Amino acid sequence: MTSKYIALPKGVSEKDFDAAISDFRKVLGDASVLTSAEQLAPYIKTMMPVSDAEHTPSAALLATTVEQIQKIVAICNQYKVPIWMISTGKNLGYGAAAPAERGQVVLDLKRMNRILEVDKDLAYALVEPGVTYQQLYDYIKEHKLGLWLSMPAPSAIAGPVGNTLDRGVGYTPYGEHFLFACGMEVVLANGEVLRTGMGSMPNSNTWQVFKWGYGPYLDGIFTQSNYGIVTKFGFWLMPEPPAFRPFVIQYQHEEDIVEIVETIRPLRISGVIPNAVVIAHALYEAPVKAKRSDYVSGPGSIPDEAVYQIMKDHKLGIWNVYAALYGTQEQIDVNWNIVTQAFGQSGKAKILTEQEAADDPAFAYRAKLMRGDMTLTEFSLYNWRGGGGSMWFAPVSQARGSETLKQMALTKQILAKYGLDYSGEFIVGMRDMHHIVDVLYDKTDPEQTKAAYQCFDELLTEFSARGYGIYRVNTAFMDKVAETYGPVQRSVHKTLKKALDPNGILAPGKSGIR
Amino acid sequence: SSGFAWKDGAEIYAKICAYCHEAQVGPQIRNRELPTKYIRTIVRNGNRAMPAFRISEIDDESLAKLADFISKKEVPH
Repeated sequence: MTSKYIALPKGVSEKDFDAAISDFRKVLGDASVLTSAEQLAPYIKTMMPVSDAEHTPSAALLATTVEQIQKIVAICNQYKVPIWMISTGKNLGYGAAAPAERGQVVLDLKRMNRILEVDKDLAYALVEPGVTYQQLYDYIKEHKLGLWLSMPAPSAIAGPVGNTLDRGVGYTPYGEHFLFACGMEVVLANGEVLRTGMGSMPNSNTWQVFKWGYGPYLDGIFTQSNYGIVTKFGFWLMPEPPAFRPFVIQYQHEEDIVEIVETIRPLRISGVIPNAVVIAHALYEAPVKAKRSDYVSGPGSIPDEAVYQIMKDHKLGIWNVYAALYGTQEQIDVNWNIVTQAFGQSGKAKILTEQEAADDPAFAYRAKLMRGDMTLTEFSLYNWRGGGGSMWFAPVSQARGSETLKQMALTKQILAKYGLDYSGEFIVGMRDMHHIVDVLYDKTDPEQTKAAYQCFDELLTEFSARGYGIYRVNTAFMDKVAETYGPVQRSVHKTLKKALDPNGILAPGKSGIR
Repeated sequence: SSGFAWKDGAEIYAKICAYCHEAQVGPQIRNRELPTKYIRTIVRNGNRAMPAFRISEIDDESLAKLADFISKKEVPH
């Protein structure tokens, strides 16, 4: 039997879905309810090693107002239609814009894209979900507000709401994005509109300046979750500093990560280096400068000798530490002395300033990311093997040298077993590291795709067995990661879900919650 | 107030495409007189390493303008 839909939501008859679609059209207009294969094609492209059929949506809804969203959830409750919410929908390597489960209706908020407020003095923004970093960047420049953004590498085409709701990170001193979030507006499954923090108080002007409000602090339960639909989002912006000094420190041996981390930690915790520093492996930076196919061919992971050759040919360390100083010239000069002394001690580090590395394309894009300028240069990672296969493997680590080396060695060993390369970096918090590994494979090659799936599964199994948890994951592996955090947490998540969304209409499956 | 909308094909190219296609991430696509239909298909479906772009990001009318902008040969000054 053929359906007029490319997929149907789980447990929903075609008759009921017809009725729901008809009601959606009344709310949004025909042009904002997408059901044809052609219209839905862009929602289906993911980089995950599973069949597209597993994440095919049944429809997409383009809403632009809170009132429309309230009406949509009412319809979803009536017909038990599950919706998958996206903001800018550029969650590449984590599932992109496709729903967690086949047949879910994508609620696409990209067109709900007003910049509601940017306050120059208090340095905050209040935006809708569809606002991109590029849009905000242009607005700030146009109005000469003197504020800097922090964004992930997909910068221009991604946005602060979607990124922060998945607890993504950037590379400036404001790089831990959720830490700098302040105030949300959320449409709940019952249609009510909740404003968190000070936003619940009538006539308040402190929604974007004081995070906690009164009573339980709720913002966190709306991140990496499916308890509500975030329709407004406030966050703090960094004032543009008078001076900015990006630099890179290169090391030649993989074991040197121990020294790097032990040197950085006190500088990070004390605030001498204030930004989310990156310790990037040679293979993470190589795609900006080199082609994999120029160094290796055939199956298997890249041999260490080829990596050393790439380092030599393209002036990369095996570890490349990108960091920056911010402030007045005097502040930077003082901190620069502290940094160069700390890294100069062992004689292993090669420190390069902006002047020395100016022509280096890897340095140039890193400097942009560390000052909140738009660049998509890091997408060159996807050319390393090509073919559109990429999953982020992102375990959390202590900022302790011995731990980072252990995690790196284990990751590399498991990747090699499946013929894949270690393209990894550590994003340095104060006490934590986001150990970010791009599991790159050729999705047009069925054998390699199968290997990539098994490889990712083994990475999760082996890391969790050693007590290493994952901070964020693609939609194909959300259940598996949820399991690693144990039954009590899962049951609390489920209890909250039942209380806030008894019909289970909001993104069932997100973070393993349904 | 209403939300953001694209001005023309050149703006979309500069604010999205150029970040890859003028930075050696994606292939050069301007001045190749690529067919507009081909451009629209690739944008909507994505292509291997290249992500897809939805109607909500680049509406059909804007995509037509973008495809037109990319496919036209630049006249040398």
